[in-house]
Amino acid sequence: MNPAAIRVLLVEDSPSDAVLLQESLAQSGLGGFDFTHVDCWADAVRCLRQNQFEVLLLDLSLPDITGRETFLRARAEAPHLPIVVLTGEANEDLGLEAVRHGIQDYLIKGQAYGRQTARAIHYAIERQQAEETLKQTEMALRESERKLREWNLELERRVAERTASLEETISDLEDFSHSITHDLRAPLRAIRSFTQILGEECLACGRPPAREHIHRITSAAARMDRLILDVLQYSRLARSELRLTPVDVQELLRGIVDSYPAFQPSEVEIRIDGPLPRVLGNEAALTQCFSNLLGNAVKFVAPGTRPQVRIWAERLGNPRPEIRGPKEGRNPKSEKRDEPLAAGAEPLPPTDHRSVATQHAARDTAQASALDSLNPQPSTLNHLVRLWFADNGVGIPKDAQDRIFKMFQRLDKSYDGTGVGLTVVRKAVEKMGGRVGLESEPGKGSRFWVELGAADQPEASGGAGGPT
Amino acid sequence: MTGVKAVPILYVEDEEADVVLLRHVFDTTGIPNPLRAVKDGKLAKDYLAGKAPFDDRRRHPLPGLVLMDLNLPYWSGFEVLEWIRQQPQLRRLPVVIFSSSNRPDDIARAYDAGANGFLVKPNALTDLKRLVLAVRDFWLLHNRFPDTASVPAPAPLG
Repeated sequence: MNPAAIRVLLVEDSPSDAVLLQESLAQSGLGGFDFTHVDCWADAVRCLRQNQFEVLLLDLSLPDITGRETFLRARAEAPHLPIVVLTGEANEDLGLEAVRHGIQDYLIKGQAYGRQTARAIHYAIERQQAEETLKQTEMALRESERKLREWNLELERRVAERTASLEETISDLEDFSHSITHDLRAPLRAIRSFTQILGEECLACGRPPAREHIHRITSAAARMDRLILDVLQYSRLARSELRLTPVDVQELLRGIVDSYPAFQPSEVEIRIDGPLPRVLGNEAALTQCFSNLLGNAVKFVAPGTRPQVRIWAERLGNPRPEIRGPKEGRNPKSEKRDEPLAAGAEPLPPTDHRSVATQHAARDTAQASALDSLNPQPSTLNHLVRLWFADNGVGIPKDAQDRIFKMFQRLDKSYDGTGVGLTVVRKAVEKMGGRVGLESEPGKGSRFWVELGAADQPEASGGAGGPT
Repeated sequence: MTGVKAVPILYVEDEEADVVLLRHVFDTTGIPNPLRAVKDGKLAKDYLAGKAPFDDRRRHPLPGLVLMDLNLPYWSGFEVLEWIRQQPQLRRLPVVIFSSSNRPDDIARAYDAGANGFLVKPNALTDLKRLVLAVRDFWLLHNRFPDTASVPAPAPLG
């Protein structure tokens, strides 16, 4: 037996056809074939189960089975074996149908013998192998898809799990801050109140050191209470979703100035150089920001100085100079402004103005180009409003300017404060999609700015205008 | 308040310091109304129901006004309030919440449960004095109390 010969199972009930086929194949010269010949399906099945074949040549009119049933059964019996069916001349359709059902090829008896048959056999083997490879690839692909789906599900499950745990954490945090309010502040209330009672009772005894100590206790307790409230305010802000609406900043600022005793004209001078464009913000958060900024502006002044604060707005990134009006119109206004201020304790030094203006222009250009690179849509460039809060306070050294927005940072402990106010400002502004910053020098006051989205186009709100 | 018998006030509060403080402010501002204090929700219910040790109404008079904290041991202020509103003899009793919470949902829940007012505890003594004077003016001076005696069925409360 030729070991390289292709092992063929030939199922053919006509002995003459079988002989003819074998002989013509032997003469074809296309490789050796090692034939096993049976003449019915029952024997074929037995052979298939006992021996290894490389190809099955199957007649479709056997004594125990005929027609399409033959190749369907054969395919099922040997799913991976290359099969070539043999049909009569009148039954070519059956051959085609066989191919549609996973049979590798068909031969028409009496037409195809010799080289053609040999080629069909080789081709059937190759084709079956290719199909097998394809099937394996498909299976591997399907397996990968299945795994992918599994991982997706797993991922979704994990996301859901983590979301749930985050939600739980948030709700825990809320409970936590609530219990902080209740449980941490209650002892403080007792300390503050009883110390005050003690102080009142001590007034009668009139010993100054005791009164001084009592005063220190009450103010320390009051400070701690404010710290708790400020941190709470910050954590609430950090967790909350801020809904943005158009806000009339000018109106809001007037309201703040009118309602806080510390901002009254008898105490401080606060000027709003309007009109201020409307911004996109959250009114409650903006109220918090503005009152913190104004509070700082009037608080951090040199002893004996009457606080002066000026607020104005500029639009950023607008290429048309006439819309830049508020800024350009500011300088002459600033000169005029010095007159009433000069009547006060200490006017801002005139050099200050010029340096601000220069810095301003320089920063403006830098700002616009920075924005250009950040946001290529020119339409959004007109949509930024920068609100300035300039004071005549003690100023902030350059190297401290990054720190002051951080929690609990206090530059000068001789001023009353918790070091949370600016942290709240920055958090709130960032939550509204904006930015904060400052320009300052020790002894020359500070100019804080808050940048937010504009609520209207410059044309609609009227960019420039006189002081109000 | 001259001529009118000062209505007793029941203060439901677990922080002893807060009770002492309120007494101090009552004394220093000259509010004559007797201030009774209980330190949890269960005692509040017992007091209002006249159960022992509060069964002697001469010593433990039924209050005309209740000041109540929300965070209380055993029964929260909400639960006590809901219970009060379910008692025929007490359902008209003015109850003012006196809490350190200013959470909107706490405030809403208190009113839903039938609170007549919600006051946030001030943290400074001066503010507490101001608040107590306001309570005196509104609740003890100008406000007219319902006639709780005419409410039917003075049967034992549970």
